[in-house]
Amino acid sequence: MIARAPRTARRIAAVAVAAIAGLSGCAPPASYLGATLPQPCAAHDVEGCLGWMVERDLSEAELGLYGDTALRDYVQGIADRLATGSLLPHAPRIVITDHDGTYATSGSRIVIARPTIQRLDSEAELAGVIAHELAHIEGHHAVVSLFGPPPDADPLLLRRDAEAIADERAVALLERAGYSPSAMARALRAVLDSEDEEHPLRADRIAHVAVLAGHRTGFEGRAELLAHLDHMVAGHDSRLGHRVGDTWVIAALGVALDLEAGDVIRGTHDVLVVRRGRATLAFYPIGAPWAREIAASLTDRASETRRLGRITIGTMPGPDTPHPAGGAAGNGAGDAAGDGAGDGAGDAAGGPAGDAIGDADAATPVGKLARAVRSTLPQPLAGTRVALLERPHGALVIELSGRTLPELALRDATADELAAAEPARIVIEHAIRAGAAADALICEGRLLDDPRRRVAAGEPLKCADRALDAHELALDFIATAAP
Amino acid sequence: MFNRISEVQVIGAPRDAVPQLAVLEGTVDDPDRTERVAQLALRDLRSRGYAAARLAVSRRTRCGIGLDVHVTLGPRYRIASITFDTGASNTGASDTGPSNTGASNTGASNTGPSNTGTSGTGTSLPGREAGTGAPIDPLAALEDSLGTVNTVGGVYIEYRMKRALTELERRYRDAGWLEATLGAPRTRYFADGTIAIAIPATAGRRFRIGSITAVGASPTARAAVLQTLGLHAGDYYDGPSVRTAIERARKKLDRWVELRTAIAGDRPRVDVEAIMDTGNTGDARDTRDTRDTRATRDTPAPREPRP
Repeated sequence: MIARAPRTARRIAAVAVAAIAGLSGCAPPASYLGATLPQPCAAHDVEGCLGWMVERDLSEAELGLYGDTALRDYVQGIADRLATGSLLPHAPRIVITDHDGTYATSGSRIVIARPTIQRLDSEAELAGVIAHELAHIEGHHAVVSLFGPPPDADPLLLRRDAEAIADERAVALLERAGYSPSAMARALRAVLDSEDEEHPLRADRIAHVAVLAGHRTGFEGRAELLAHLDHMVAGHDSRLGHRVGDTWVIAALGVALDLEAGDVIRGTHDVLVVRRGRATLAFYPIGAPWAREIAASLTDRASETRRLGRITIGTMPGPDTPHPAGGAAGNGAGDAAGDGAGDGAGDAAGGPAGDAIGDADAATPVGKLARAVRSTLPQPLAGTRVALLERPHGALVIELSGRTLPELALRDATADELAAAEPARIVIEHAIRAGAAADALICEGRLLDDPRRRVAAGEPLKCADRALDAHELALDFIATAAP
Repeated sequence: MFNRISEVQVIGAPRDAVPQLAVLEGTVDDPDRTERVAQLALRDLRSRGYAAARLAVSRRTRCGIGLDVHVTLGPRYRIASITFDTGASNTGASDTGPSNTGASNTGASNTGPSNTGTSGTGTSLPGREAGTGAPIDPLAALEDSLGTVNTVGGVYIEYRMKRALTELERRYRDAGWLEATLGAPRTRYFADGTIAIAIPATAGRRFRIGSITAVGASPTARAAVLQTLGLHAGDYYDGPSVRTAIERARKKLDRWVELRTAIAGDRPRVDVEAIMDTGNTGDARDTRDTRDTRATRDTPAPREPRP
């Protein structure tokens, strides 16, 4: 991966383990996250099965896919072009996600983040990012990260070797595909904003690829990239929602949370945390199939159907707790998540988890694997009190903690709120005068390009269609509701 | 300043046999790194069954830097048998024998002994137990299910087998076989591309629960803990059950309870002691000599009526 992805390792492991469940000869399950396992899984095509599950995980557990077909096709075309100069018989499949984290994964998939694409300035730079990941696939580097090296090897050293090789190999792949090799250094400069121990130092990476590229030139394709970014969602992960006045609106689920004076809202990567009084609640949306599995696994669970949707409240079990056969009465926590009408006792939620993998007997290999799968998908920690609100397009997980449980008064978002919560989008505007992008006399306060970038008059620039809020610009943000 | 590897030639095998080295074409010439990559590539070959594979990398410096990768794959070996060699001293007759630990035979452990069907010289040991909460190695799980590694018909990876045996030994002990040992696997390679693996195994005695006592807190609280634990002196010791019992007691009684176990002298008995919070956490958590404590409290635990 070019930059560290929060869930990459977990996701890779999940996919690997999930694949096993499907491939196991003695395994009853024929589905994964609500879908029947495809032919590659039945045919013991591990790579093909893993790739399918990567996408299933992103779409059905994390609600993380960015569904712009035209953009995906464009990026796929770049990968196809790069693959012709590689060792691979065919190009990896491109998957675009709505959240941060770009990486190569098993099943010959390259997962590329929409926010990463936003940061790049030309098709050649985008090709550089893809070439880096493609080199990981070429070199079978995923095997090292997935399974870990033998005990006598230094895993970090091997990891850094693989990253450096992928950077350097990407320069060669760019050149073979006719792209400007020097774009690799610019791509790294654009997307790397932190150091970690698994990668060589940022400055070293950029210097190495710059030297390798030399002064060779090739296709840049700035206009081509920008043409495809026009109307792409801008800013960071939009799944957690947006603040609209005194309301937090999670547009993906059509849910609104009215903020109260003194509420503190904090976003960290993929969780929205709301502190209200002495209570702390963590929110995040997940896919419906995964939500059903979590709901069925809760202990002391109770559920009822309200105007807002089906709400299940219970306690997240430990990794070894088998699925309970039936539910138990609630303890009053129901007030926290609903509209105040219920008492949490509701109808006991029995029944199966919905997916065969999740239901597998804990004593079987599949059962053990199912536990491993569950441990890698987004879910509350064991022992956490949880409310799950099912909506037509997914579910909202609410982790409840603190000594008291506040009234949340979740409700359907209004049409106006949903419109206001629409994420900002990129619009391409053209510089009125030459100079630094910041002085180009366009999109003031909405510029997404590097303000120091030198532009000619008439040159296209990336702007947002509206000013971005702080929480749209940063992965971590904190906001307080005004009294 | 550095040089670039302009070409990688793979001799003796297809390029995709050593992809780790093939992708060095176009990268910086770093001999130390190349050596590490070569080691990885060789391990990868061996993990695919080419146990006798050899690999040598030489550098050419004429007309730029080039790498020549000489590969000798050799036969692709598959495991023909895995046996547990229990030797004459271990008849599996200690108590009820190692195959009756109650652990489920999943047929999928990468230790493989239970599903080899070839335990001709020794006792078949159970596979991994369910419900112990130990993390599952994705690779092991994948390859176990596919039957590709460390199972009959699969390839042999020694370090993984050793790691798996260590885990199996731990689980075996956790199931009450406190003297169980599994030695380093012995391998024999045959010209027809097969491998026979023998694993020295000793089961030893199976331990039972000796005394069950509670210390700290009030007599009433101690009695409640003992009742809640639901453990019975004389039952086979089973780590997961004991831990579950402690967890149950903590939850039900809503108080801090710590577990301490000790082997009771020469007898195959494990004494279990529940240490309770006395209200002074520091006192309760101190580490007294277990054997001394046991000596003064070696009374059978009250038993709940059995269902």
